[in-house]
Amino acid sequence: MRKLPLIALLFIIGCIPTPPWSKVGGQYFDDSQNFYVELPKGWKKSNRVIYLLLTRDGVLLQNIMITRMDIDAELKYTKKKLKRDMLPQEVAEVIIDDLTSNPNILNFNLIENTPAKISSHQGFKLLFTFRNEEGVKYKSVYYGFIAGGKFYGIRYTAAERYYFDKDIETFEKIVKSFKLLSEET
Amino acid sequence: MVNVLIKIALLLLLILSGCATTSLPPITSSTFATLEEDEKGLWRRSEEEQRIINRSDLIYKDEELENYLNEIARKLAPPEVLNYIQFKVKVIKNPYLNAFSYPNGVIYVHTGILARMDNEAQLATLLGHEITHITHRHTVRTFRDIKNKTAFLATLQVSLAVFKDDIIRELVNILGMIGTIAAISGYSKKLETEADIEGFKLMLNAGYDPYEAPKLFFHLKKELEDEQIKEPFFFGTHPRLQERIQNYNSFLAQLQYPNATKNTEVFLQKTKNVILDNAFLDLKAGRFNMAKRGAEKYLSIKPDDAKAYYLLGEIHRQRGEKDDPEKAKENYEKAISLDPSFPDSYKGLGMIYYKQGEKALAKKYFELYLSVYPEAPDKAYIEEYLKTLQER
Repeated sequence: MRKLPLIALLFIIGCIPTPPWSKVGGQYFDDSQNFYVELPKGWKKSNRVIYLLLTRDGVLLQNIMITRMDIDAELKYTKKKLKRDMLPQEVAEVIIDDLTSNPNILNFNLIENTPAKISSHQGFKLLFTFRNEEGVKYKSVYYGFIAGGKFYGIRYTAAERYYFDKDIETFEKIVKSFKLLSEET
Repeated sequence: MVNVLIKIALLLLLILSGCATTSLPPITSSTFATLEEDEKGLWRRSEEEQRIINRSDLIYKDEELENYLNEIARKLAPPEVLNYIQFKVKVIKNPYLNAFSYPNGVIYVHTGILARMDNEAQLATLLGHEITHITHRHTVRTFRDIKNKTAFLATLQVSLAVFKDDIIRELVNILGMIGTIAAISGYSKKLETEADIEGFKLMLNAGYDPYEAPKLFFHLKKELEDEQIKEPFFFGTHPRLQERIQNYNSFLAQLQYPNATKNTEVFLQKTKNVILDNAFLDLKAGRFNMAKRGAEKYLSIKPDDAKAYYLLGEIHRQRGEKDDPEKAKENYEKAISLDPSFPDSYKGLGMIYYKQGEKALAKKYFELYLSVYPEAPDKAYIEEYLKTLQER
């Protein structure tokens, strides 16, 4: 009988829904996604998605995404596939084609497509602008690389006006801190 | 029981009083007087939507092609509607098979569908279909139909509370969501069939070869089968393709038009750039077979075109299946032989040789690429390849 309040408390705790966002800052280990990064203070992380989604003022104003996918997985908008033996430029080519085949991305303008080193991995860096269906202009920086059978993407997108410049340095610091927890095979 | 019947009669009266008619005369009809108020609203909304489309980069810009398409539309349009509607055809950069129209006379045709057609008669089939959607006021009729069905269900659900009897409740339960959607889809199918029939008459009156009408759908059907697509876009709400081909064949059985117009050469000359540009879009979308078919079709119109051979090279390189690298090399080399100043084929060859470990050849082609195109946007990659080749 004395155990009843304890059981009730556990039951209540178990029923409390996870908040959609939680504050972050400092070291961040994601074992399921196999990476580590240093996160800035004052930012929030979404608890609703499997990948890492961060924002400070709201996802429509600025967001940072770190994604990891099997290279065999289908991309959302192009039927092209990533392959293990692709050069970083070829990987970038597929990612650009996926972005430009997205009907919600209008007026895509690629400003930069260059090789980049992320942690110790050879990859690419894209810088581009686009408009969404409502006509809002966004600017994005997208780093990506293939390690073993996985593709990693680290992307920052923000409204071009005011917001992009505001957080680009924060994003680059995150990219510099990025490390794989174990090498993919 | 009498009580229930009175309640049903009252309910029906309530429903009918809230319904707008979907039976509107076509603009081509002598009974047509003016646009309805809600229709005017739809026209205004159409203009707003078109403004968004037109200011995006979705529009394929080719003035000569647009003029040609508008000329065909004018040829097809019934003269009696030209006082009310100015038809305007625009092309959208999209490799998927689609075309759609707004009630105010603006028709959008995807590059994908244009690139697959063989001649002007097939184009006339498509435009005749879209023109009928406009002249027969299909947008406002569909809009009212959906509105009425929504009003019907809402009224019915509210009024159901009046009935303690389960008869009507059960009817609604049987119909349910799927029944409602099926009813709406069915109505749309009816309008699509009307557009097929009336559009067919328009192309026939304009002197086009009616035997080309089913061929358009036959080509499309083949392509859908190749891509294992069931019913995309243009066909999503339309009667199924096979059914449409049969409909056209049954019209044709009653006709004899041996010398009607196809205008194949004019059509292919006017649309050849769309064919090539659309093949590049297919490549972006990873539809390698369609991209290849597009490039080959373009080469059949304009042989010895370096850009088309370069595209074939790209298709093979990017697909990367068993014999693809060798086929890619052949096409890149052919492109270079036709136009040595076109840089991208050098890069393609460089990348293949680089991956195959053929250092000297990779170096040669990367250097050639940079010498032809010193300001290449991907210069940094090429310099890195050259650096790596030096270190190895």
